[in-house]
Amino acid sequence: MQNTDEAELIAQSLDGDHEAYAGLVDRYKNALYHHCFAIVRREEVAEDLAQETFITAFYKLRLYKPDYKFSTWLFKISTNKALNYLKKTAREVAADDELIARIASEYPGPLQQAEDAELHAAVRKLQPKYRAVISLYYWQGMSYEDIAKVLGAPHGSVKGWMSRAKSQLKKELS
Amino acid sequence: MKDIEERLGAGSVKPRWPLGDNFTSKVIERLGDGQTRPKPRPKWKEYINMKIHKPAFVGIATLAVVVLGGSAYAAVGGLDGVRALFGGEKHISGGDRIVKVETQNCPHIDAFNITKKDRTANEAYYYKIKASSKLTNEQVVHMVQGSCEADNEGLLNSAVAQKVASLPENKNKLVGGYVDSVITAITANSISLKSDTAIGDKNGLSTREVTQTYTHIDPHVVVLYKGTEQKYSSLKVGDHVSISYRATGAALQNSETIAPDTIDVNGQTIVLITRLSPQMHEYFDYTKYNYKEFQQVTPCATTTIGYCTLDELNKK
Repeated sequence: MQNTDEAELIAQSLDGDHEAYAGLVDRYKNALYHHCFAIVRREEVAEDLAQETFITAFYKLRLYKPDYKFSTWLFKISTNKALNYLKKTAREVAADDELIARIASEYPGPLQQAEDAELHAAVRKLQPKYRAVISLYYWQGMSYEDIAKVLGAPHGSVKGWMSRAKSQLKKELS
Repeated sequence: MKDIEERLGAGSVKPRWPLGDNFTSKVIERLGDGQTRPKPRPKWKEYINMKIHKPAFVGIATLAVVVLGGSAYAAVGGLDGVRALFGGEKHISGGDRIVKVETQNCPHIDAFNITKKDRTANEAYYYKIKASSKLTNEQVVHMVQGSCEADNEGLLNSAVAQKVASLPENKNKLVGGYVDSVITAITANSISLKSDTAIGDKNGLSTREVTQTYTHIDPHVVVLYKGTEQKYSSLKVGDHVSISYRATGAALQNSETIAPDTIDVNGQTIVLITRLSPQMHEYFDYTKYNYKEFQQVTPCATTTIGYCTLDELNKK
């Protein structure tokens, strides 16, 4: 459900108030950028996809139902865009050594950096759909229920994908 | 080695650089000059939304014939004074023409002002008619009249529809089917509906019919006609209806990509059937011809003809 402030921004945006919409963009831009990046693995593409997500969301705002969290709806649009991007380009972006070495970390000690790089490389090998599940659950803090809404899949399927993603990661990281 | 849960929880796969400071301004810039608004819902969704969520409305009383600029167009017999009137025409380059339609007491959804608070205020609407179209001005006026009446009829039905939607078993689960479906078979336990999937869909420009058979009818299904409840048994083959069903699975998803004809109807239970009046068909003509032969425009200074479509405005 929305909080009052957010509901107000949405209502104003529906009236064509671009400043109000900028408030919504500011609120979710980083989360969407990070999520898109987790799937497509290229910063410039992730930024474009995040931007496209907000443009689409604005024009489709009337289709948003307030009984969903607004963020869930945004993640749904961005996930679709990111997965479609990968389908269209039909290629995966190689994670080169430089990129792995420069992965940002909140705990940038050498050990943490190495572990993050390893994790990055392992996640890269997952199917895009599994990456989306991992990103939404662990890094965006979403519930399985919300992830099911984002991916348009039954709750059970999401759990199954998560389980397969984790066992693949375990294998990669062992 | 850390546990996988711990590792995933501790560090995310992050981009190498943060978003630029101007990210938000770039998004807003792309939305245009401050006049751009969210687009209206596709008609099949708008109609059910109106029936379920909008407050009840009673129109105001009435006139039927108006003379403007030497031309007289009798408005179609309306519901409580909803009317559309010819307001003049202007020929533009390439043989296209602009037709002005003035409405009174019309709860018409204006593509250019979808969030207008007073939807029944008297308004003038402008339509660009393609040179290749055989539509007469009178037909255009009648289509707008039908559209007004369709919306009004939806509002008349809304009180009962709201009641149905608020039942605990239906709350947040009701979804609308196509705005106009024709009953092709009906029994106490099932109903087959033929629908034109192009109605109301800008992208569905080619007409495509789909027939779906719903085998779950709620024992308390409500049948509505112009705001009054009727018996399910009064429905017959050939009636035009619009349905609402208690949805499961994909049908319940809030996605612009979910089309009714892709939904497994066996999982859906019909709880509301709205029988449509003949006036509704004027409205469906409107939606069939819309974007193909004519399109709503609004006066603007940014095109050579002095009128802009919604897309043209959005691109600014």
